[in-house]
Amino acid sequence: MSRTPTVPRTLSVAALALVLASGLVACAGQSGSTVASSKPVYGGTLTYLQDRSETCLDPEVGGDIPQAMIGQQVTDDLVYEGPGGKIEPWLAKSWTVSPNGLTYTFTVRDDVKFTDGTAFNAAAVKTNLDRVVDPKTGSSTDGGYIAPFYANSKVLSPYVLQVNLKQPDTALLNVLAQGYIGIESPAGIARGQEKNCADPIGTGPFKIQSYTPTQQVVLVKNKNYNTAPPGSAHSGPAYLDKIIWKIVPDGTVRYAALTKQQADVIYYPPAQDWKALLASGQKILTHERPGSPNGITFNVTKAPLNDVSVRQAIIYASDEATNLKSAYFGTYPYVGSPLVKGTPDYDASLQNAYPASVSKANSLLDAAGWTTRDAAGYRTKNGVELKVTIPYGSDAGQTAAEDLTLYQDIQASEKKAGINIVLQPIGTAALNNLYSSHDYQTLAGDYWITNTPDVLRTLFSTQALKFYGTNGDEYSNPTLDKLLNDALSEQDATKRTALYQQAQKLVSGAALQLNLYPAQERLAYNANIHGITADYAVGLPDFHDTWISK
Amino acid sequence: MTAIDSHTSLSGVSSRAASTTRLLGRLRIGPILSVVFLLFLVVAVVDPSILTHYQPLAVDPAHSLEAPSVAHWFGTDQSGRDIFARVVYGASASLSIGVIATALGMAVAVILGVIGGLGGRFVDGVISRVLEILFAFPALLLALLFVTIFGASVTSLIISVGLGSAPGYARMVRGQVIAVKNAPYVEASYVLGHSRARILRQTILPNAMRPLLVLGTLGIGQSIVWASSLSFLGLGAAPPAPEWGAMLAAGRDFISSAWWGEFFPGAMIVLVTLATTSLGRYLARRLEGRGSEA
Amino acid sequence: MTATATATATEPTRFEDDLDSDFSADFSAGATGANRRGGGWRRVARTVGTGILVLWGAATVTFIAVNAMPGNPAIAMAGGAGSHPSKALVAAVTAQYGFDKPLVIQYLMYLLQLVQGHLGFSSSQKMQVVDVIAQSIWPTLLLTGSALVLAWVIAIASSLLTVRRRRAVSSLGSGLEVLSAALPQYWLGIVLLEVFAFSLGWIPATGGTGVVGLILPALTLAIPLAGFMSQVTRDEFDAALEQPFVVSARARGMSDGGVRVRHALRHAILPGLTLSGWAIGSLISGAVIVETLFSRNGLGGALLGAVTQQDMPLTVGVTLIVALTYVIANIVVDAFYVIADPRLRSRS
Repeated sequence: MSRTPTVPRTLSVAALALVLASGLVACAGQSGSTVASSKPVYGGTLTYLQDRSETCLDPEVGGDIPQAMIGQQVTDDLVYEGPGGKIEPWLAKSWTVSPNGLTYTFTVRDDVKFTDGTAFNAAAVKTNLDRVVDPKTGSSTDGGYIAPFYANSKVLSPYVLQVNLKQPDTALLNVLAQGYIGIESPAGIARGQEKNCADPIGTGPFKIQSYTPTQQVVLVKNKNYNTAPPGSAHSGPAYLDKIIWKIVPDGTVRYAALTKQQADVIYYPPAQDWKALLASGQKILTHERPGSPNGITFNVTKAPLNDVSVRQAIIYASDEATNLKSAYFGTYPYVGSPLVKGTPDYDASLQNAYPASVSKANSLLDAAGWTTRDAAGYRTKNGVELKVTIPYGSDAGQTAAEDLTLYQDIQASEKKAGINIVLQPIGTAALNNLYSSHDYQTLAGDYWITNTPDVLRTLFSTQALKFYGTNGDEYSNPTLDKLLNDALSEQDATKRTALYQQAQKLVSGAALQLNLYPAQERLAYNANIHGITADYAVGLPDFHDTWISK
Repeated sequence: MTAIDSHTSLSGVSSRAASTTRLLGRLRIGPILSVVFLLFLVVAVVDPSILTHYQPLAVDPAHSLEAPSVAHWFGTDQSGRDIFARVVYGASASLSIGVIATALGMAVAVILGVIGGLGGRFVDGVISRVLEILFAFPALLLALLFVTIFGASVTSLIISVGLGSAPGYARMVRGQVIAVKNAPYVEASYVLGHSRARILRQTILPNAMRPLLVLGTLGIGQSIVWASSLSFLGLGAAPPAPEWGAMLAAGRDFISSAWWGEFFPGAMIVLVTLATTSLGRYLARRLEGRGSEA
Repeated sequence: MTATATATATEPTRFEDDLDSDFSADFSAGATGANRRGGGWRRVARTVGTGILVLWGAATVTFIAVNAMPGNPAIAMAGGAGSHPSKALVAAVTAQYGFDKPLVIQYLMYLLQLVQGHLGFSSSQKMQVVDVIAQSIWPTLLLTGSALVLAWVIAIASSLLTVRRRRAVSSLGSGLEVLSAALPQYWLGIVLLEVFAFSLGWIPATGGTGVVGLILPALTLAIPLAGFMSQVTRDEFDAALEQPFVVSARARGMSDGGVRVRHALRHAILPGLTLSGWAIGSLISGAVIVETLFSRNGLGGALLGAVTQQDMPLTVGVTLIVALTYVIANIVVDAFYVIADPRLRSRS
């Protein structure tokens, strides 16, 4: 197993200041230089402020980002994803895939212990896989990815596991590299969901010391850690002794705590405070999360969005790039393509598929018959106003202030083309109802973080519409279905890329989403904190290499 | 004022009225300022364009989060909208929440209170116990549940605030009806042979309702404060509507870089509450004087 | 909150229930003490009975409301719509928690559980409701308790210092009281946070631990409440200072301060005490806002999360605890009332 030294994926202060000044943001994650001024030191407690609370620390139950963020510290994955989507060994030393893509045989490490003292082996991996596909576990994320393909797994010897699939899944290894499915101790799992939610046990660099739901998690270092992944800057136990992981939903409070040195690292610094942060010597790490970008999903079965011209007109009229720059103070790049740049098989040509143009929107709408106007200046057709409602989560912490500004700015842009956008705040319960009834025209803040182009199947395929409940667009197109299914079983990488790029073009042309910006890992931290990284698979913070200079 | 003073002293209601009259003398400037401020708001409700030439929804991203200046008296918000214009145009939504919610709360209260006060022991018992249950229920939870069920909107805000305040008013109406029911002048009406309906309409209700006028005035400000709390929790008006509570909720995220977005809508709520409270207290004193005359 | 406001401005004593209706809500403001007939066990039994009724009512109203919410609670349990749970997963959760059973059956089953003392399992926090409450009740009681005490201190100080002083002092006192009563809690909280935590940095932005962390949240709750209470105590204090016993005390040569503290104060705090019972409800509502604003652990935050995530057992559990607190607090207030007003002891 090879260990390659890596560059901490941190943007230098100067680079970011430049980026802000020009109002553009480069892909921060993959580039940048390190400001490692001195030798790392062991010890110290890091106070980290997170925006959202997790209802269960175990990412295999449910599978929300805050859970995966904890999972990243507490567990290791079977495989590791490096830059460019390259899959490397982690808890699995090596593996083979059968030519038909149905059988994966993993040889796992034999020198690893969970933090409860029990041994890691092939049986433990089997327990985890069987667990996430079991509906009783309630695993939305892992279960959603794995269950449709998973047949069973067999322990061939203590450290060799054979995983059998029902149908080929070329995305499997990528999925197994995500922090959402860190391998947990079977003995820990056996304690039952309630206990395991409060204290998931893995082989990771940290373990849970205490957990106060909705308030804080205290993590302490795993002194016996010997499974640092290939991307780590050092092997062996973490530098930090302890992490105090606090939930502080209010961005303004997180920002103030950081500037007043009451916190070392904060998640998601408010965009309007970036300039002040950088000016006062703090640093910001951004890392793009692959998958489908944050945007507004169109339900193609609901009038007037059942007309592709109307959908395209909305995208042309929205002037996302300008509105994004103002609402997010230039801290986010605009993503115009169905996939975010870092996703494997990403098609760069689609970034500018819909350049901002009110006249283009107007001619599309005129051609579609929306030729008359009502008293308020909105277009009408047969006496019906061209109106599209955007519901958004109104409960505290659900919709970022910047997003709300962005939607209102887009609303003003659409008005120029005679499109009436209505913003509708709704609570979580009603939002859940919308998701299950599909009784909406649009969904705001929709994105999907994953490290495979198979996300297109998750979001736009007929299969997803019928069985997964993840196709929010209600789009159904046999041509796309075939492309995506073929790609999923295509073992030849070049051919697979071609298929996925064809699929992306199709999705982009159908105007299924108003794409806005990539999901990003965003951390701000004080100057005495070093070695903060984000993982390549899904952009989770990783504190294994983090150290505090005196 | 002196006339009332001596009269009340004579009638034995004693020192309290006298002291409040003195207090009134001291605070008379309050009601005047309150009326002036409320008149300003009436103008804002009737024709806001008299007060500002800016449009409350006109987005101008190039001038977002600008500090108060001659051009923008209260500064601009995160989308570059003029906050003064939004405050002025928002008066109508916020005031209607205050007035309608209070009226609704009182209407429910009067129905419950009168039935309880005049009904038999059993009816009264049932209503009183219902009120007791509602009291033990945090008003915010009631509103929260209501808004979760019926969705966030100004209408939901009005209804939930109105219903939330009803138990408080209802208990007072009930007490007041019972007190009036047993007053000598009501017994006199019975002796005179007036019908129950007439006594209820002409004697009991007017006398029992009088304190409600005061409570209503006081309630308007409190309803606005209350509704803005719900807006803060994301349960209020939909953006970009310039409702004060919703503006407060939005301004909070920018407070460290743009205090004005949070400060001015909040100050308006405080001023309305001050004005209605001051007016309500003034009315209370006037009515106390009259009450003792009756 | 509104109830508190209305109670204050027009002295609650004016709205006392008549003696006939002994119903006079067993632990309610306005009817406290003075209207009680029949003593001893009968009263205790009635108080307990009403208490149980209130708890049952609160549980029932909450159960109905949570079930009337749009949306499938099974989706909320399966991680919420954002995590796009599969249909099979939703079906599994539905069966596991009995959401497919008729509502009446669900209600009766739930009531049976409650009677046995089982509050159930919180789906939003993946913990026993009892554990959630155990974790969050003390911070909330500490917050509301200290807010109440603080409100009292401010109200009494304001009355003692400014009633019947020079005109300017008196007006200033009553003006400040009206102003503090008019402050929206969360606005006040944000302003306090901005000034003392963000700008001056005297208090940790995240609240900190112990007493320091309690200062701003408690003040946020206490200041508007103090405004209400002191308006009442002010009027009563003012009236008490004209009472014959005060005049005679002064005639005996007692100092002004002595008169204020030893005679007038006792009378002035009675309606404030009544109000304290009422304030409990208002404080709990306020706690929802303050705990959210200051990211504090507590019942208010738990309640908000429970309602938004359709977590019926936790919503009912917290509601029951709040109702219970209200019931107990009012019994305590009743007791205080009798202690503070000796006249009530002889009158039965």
